[in-house]
Amino acid sequence: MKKIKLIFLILFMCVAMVGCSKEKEVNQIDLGQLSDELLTKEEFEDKLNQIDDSMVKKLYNIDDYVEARVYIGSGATAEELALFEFRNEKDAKEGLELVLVRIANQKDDFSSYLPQEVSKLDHAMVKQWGKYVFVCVSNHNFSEEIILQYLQKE
Amino acid sequence: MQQRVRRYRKKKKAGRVLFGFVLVGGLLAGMIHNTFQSTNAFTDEEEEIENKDKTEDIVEIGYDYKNPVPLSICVDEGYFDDAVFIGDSRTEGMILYTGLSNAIAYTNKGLTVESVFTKPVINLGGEKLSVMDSLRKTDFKKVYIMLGINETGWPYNEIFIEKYGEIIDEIKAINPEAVIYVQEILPVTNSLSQSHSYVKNEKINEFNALIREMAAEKQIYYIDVKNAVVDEFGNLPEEAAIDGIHLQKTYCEKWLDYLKTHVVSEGQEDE
Repeated sequence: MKKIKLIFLILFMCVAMVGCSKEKEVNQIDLGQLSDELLTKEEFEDKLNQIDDSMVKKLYNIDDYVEARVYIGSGATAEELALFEFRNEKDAKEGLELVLVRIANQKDDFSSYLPQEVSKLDHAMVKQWGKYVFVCVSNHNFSEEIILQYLQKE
Repeated sequence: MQQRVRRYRKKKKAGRVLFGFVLVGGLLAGMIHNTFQSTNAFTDEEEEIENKDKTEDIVEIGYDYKNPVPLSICVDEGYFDDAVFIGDSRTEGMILYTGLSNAIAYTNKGLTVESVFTKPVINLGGEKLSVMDSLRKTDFKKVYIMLGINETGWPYNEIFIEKYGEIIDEIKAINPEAVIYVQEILPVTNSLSQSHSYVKNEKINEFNALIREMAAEKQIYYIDVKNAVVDEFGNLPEEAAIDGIHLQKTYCEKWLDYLKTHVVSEGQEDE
């Protein structure tokens, strides 16, 4: 009886572990494709343009990412879209901290310049999915939904 | 025998005379040659000095600070390796959109000729400093400034230009060798100029006239950069900015291209 209990316990633990890891696991994401989807489906007032890697590093103070797609507005708004892929979850977590610093700095800058933009920053979508970090600053912010739909498709 | 001795003496005498002639001739030739040589050297030196004077004259009268920097050869982006850009959100956008990451950008949204000295907006080694304090801790050889759009609501133009002048004086004090370019304020779109309560192209033109005068007075370089982006009426084209002020990427590229083709030459810099 004890042996059966032990076998069940081991099986349960295995299932639980697999379940946990699946929850955190995110398939490889094509950042180009996802950013196109976000730029098309999300509602931006400004025209966002992609910036060079050299500027991404300066803007976010992040330099150990694998890939980044960052699109910024003209300065007329605080709108921004940024998708980062890191080597692993740990790096992504550190990246997330720096992203939050960037958002806080933007709030500081816009509060005295264009205060109406601060609410966009307050409600910005800033999420980490496994080794990925996504940022979207916009008015309506459907981005999380769009990303989830994209992940389900993949 | 006596005849032979006489002939020998005559020959010897002729030989001595000939040797004497050759010697004197040689000496004379040498002297003449030396004289010519030294005369030539003198002429070259004189020419060099004269040419140098002429060059200095050209440089001296060649750059008229009252006029904008003329069209020059197109420099590559390496020219901005030792440059600092000081400006507001428009300059910030230009640097970001053109990817000019080799230049130092001391920019901030809403930056004014006053807050350059007072507002701690530049993150330098984890410390937030004002633009001017940051500049004091920076190695640079060129400075590009565009400020003024955020000051268009100021009632007194004199205060604006006085503060702007203080910036120039301070930069000169920090680095007397620095090449300082002031860029005229880019206009806004006609629709914004008509509808905004204080951001008006007329006011921008007034400021630009004052900046140009100041540049002449302080002997720094004025760049009439609005030529890079304006329409036939001198306004920013409507498609250039969604809010009438902040430039879209293509217009930021035109702006940078203009800067690349309006630089002062080494000779002018040395002056």
